[in-house]
Amino acid sequence: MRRNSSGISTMVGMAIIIAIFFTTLIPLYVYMSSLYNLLSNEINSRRIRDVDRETEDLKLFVEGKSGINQENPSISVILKNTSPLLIRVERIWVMNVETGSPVGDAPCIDRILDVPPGWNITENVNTCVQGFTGRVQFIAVTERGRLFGSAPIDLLRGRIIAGLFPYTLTVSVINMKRGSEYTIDILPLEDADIHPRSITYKATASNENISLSFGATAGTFLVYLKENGILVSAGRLIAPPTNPMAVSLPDYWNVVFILSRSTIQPVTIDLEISAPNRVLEGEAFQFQIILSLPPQAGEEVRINHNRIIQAISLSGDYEQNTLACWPVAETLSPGSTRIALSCSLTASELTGNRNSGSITITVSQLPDCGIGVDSGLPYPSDQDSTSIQVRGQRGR
Amino acid sequence: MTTHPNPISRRRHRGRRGDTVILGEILLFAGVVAVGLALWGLSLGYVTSQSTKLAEDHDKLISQQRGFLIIEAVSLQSNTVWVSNPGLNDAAVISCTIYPKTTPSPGIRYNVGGVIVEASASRPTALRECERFPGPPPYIVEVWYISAHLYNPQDPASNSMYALVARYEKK
Repeated sequence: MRRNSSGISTMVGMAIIIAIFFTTLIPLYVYMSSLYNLLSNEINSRRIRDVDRETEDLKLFVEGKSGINQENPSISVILKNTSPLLIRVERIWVMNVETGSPVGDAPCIDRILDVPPGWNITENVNTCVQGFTGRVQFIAVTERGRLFGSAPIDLLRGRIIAGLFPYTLTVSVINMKRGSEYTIDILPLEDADIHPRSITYKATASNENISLSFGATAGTFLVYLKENGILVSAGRLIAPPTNPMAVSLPDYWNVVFILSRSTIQPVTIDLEISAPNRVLEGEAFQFQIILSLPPQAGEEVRINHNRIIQAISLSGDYEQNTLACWPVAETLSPGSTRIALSCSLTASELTGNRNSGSITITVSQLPDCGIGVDSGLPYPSDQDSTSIQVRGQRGR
Repeated sequence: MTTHPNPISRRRHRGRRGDTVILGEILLFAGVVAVGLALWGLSLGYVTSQSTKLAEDHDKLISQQRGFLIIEAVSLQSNTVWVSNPGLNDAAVISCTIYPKTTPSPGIRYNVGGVIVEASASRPTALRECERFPGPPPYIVEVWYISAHLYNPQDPASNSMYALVARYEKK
């Protein structure tokens, strides 16, 4: 009886320990395993979704018709699925590239577009960009969370500029006046269109010429030329006979405004010799020839260095054949003063009992000291002369 | 004369000894059962609490795997950010900032009051409370979010260690 009772307590104790083991630790282990499996499955699912997402490849192309009917423009986005997966496009945005904001602050297309692998889908997007002028980019958002963008394109009042204007109208202006502002205004008639419609240019030189090109549709245009905001009178034009000039594309591609040439009168260039007042006998020294172009000159002048060198005459106590000159400045602009030549010369030894001598440098008047850059006319210069005292070494 | 012990009294003495042993055994049995049950209860309580904590931790880890928010478009004029949720859980946005790329990230600002973005890519949600930091472009748009069921409006910072971030470069 005693032995049996002791055995029952031990058995019960053991049974409780085993029960604790089976009812706590094993379920905890099983629970942890199932949680871990759940997490593993989620990680695998996420990895599969990420791989699918990365596999998506959608290309966007924008296509527009170049019709001139303002009421019926046509812009389409072509979605080309180059991936092996079906791509579900949830929506398409139109982004204004300049401001970085969606056009209309809302998606352009907010409905599902399924693009099977290898297929193209064309979607009309006229309504999203109606009347819009600027640079835009179309962005497609897929169901898996990828964004695909098109190349940015330029729109003008809701139409694609490239392809919209199949013709080019060239407007040339000949013999512009330096400092004047010239404006070309083009007025399209009826259903013709052109871009841009106005350009202003400031002439930086006398008798300057420019040619400007405008994208245009077929049709008739009136081309106006204004000088400093005032319409150029026909009397000032060598051609064409009228201003504005009417032109019809595609029959005529050019308008050339030839203004009467403004005459350029050459002005006298001021020439000066810059030399030291005194030098020692036998000493080599330098002097410069400086030119000043008056501000009244209508153009830049190219300096004629050879003619100036030929015009230099020397007399007095100098060593023969020691004159050497080299050019410094090449051109003179109106109102500028520049060193044209830098020269070197050697004073001779004083003979006899003389303790001092002199050298006289003269640059004679030139009819062609420089040449006008635009006109090609010769520019004269005045004369200049200077004397340099030569002192003996003994006298020091 | 030989005396013999009374057999009845001997039997009585032996019977009392047996009672004590039985009582002891019963007490031992009761003690073992009581301690065992107490241990069992403690173990069950501990395991239950640990299981709950494990489940909560795994829930947060799994939520991270299921969460996915994308920034679709940004307006620098109105500081509006359009986001959508192609993930599997609804997301609660807790922070939205727009800062120059040349400056460090401002981190989680808790400036968006838990805007819920449903787990569906079919409709974008506009975040209009995004905080803009001064500086030159390009900008980084940063949106922090957590699974909606982890978001606590009374304490938005709780569970923020499980927050995810979506970034977008705006030139």
